[in-house]
Amino acid sequence: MSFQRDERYAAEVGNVFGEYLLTFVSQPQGQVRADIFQEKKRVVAHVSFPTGALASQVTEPYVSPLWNYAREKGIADTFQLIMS
Amino acid sequence: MPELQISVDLPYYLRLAEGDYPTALAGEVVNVVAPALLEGASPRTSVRAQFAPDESADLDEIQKRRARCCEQLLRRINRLLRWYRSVSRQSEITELTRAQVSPFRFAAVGVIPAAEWTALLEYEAAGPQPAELTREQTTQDVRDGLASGNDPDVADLFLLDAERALHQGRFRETVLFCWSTIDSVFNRRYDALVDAALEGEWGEARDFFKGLDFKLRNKMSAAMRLIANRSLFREPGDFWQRLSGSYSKRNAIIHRGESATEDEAMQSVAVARQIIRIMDEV
Repeated sequence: MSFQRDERYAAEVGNVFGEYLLTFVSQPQGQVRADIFQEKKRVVAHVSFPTGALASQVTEPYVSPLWNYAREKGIADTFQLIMS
Repeated sequence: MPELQISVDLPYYLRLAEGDYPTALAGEVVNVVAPALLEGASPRTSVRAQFAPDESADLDEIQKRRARCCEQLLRRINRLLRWYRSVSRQSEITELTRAQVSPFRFAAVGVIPAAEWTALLEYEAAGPQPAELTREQTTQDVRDGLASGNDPDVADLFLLDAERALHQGRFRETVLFCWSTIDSVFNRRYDALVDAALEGEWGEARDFFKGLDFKLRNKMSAAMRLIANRSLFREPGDFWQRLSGSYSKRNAIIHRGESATEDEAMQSVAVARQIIRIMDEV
């Protein structure tokens, strides 16, 4: 599953970035991880590259799945990607 | 082919005339813009450049091409800053990370492309990271460390220095600090493994395996395989390529005075962390 709630992460991350919602991991090798938080009306996906891939070279899709998620949830107007 | 102008605000005010500054021999240019003078705010110089990435309708491909354009712009900016620092003798002017100049603002030049091409591209220095230790664990570990009478391992301190340098735009230092960490961690553990594997052996032969003539990457690959059944060359993924690339950059910095990019610095930190993890496991 690409979108899952990471309960251990949720317990540890705190709320400085807002309320933790869930985590996206790209398939098949997890080149991209996006932790999704909501702060008031804004929903932000903090995008990181845990395998060391560069943002300009990743081969696994993440932008399309994240925006599809935002549209399905009706939050596309307040959704934002920030690259870590 | 969308034609884009990408601009950023630097965290500095540069005493430079407005206009184009070639940053390489073959047509790379940045345009320095006079800062807006806003009451109550320090002036910040803006820099911009034009790019023409290949067209695409795929959102992920568009993101990659925009990220690549941002990398290229940042490379030009950092070259400008290196010269500005050298000429102005201002040591506080360091190279910049993507997060430090974020957001990257995209504007169409000419024909308006799809909206995905001109959205802001934002970077942050560090995303939401979970704390590794609770306050109680941190307190106990600090007390235990102090009671030991020793200082923290110098390799730990080097890696922390590397991470700090990375966030401050000191990319050459990041690479060098990482390789100090790697040299310290790897060589101490490797030497102990050699001594254990060759206990009782002729001392000069044992010393050869630990000596400078045996070369670091030979130790990391074939020798580690023989003495610990764990060659770094055989680590999964592209780890060996990244390690070798980082080692080459380290040598280029030391022996040829080359600079490093933010990505090269980040790669060196990732390589150092992985080597520490591997050497803890063997």
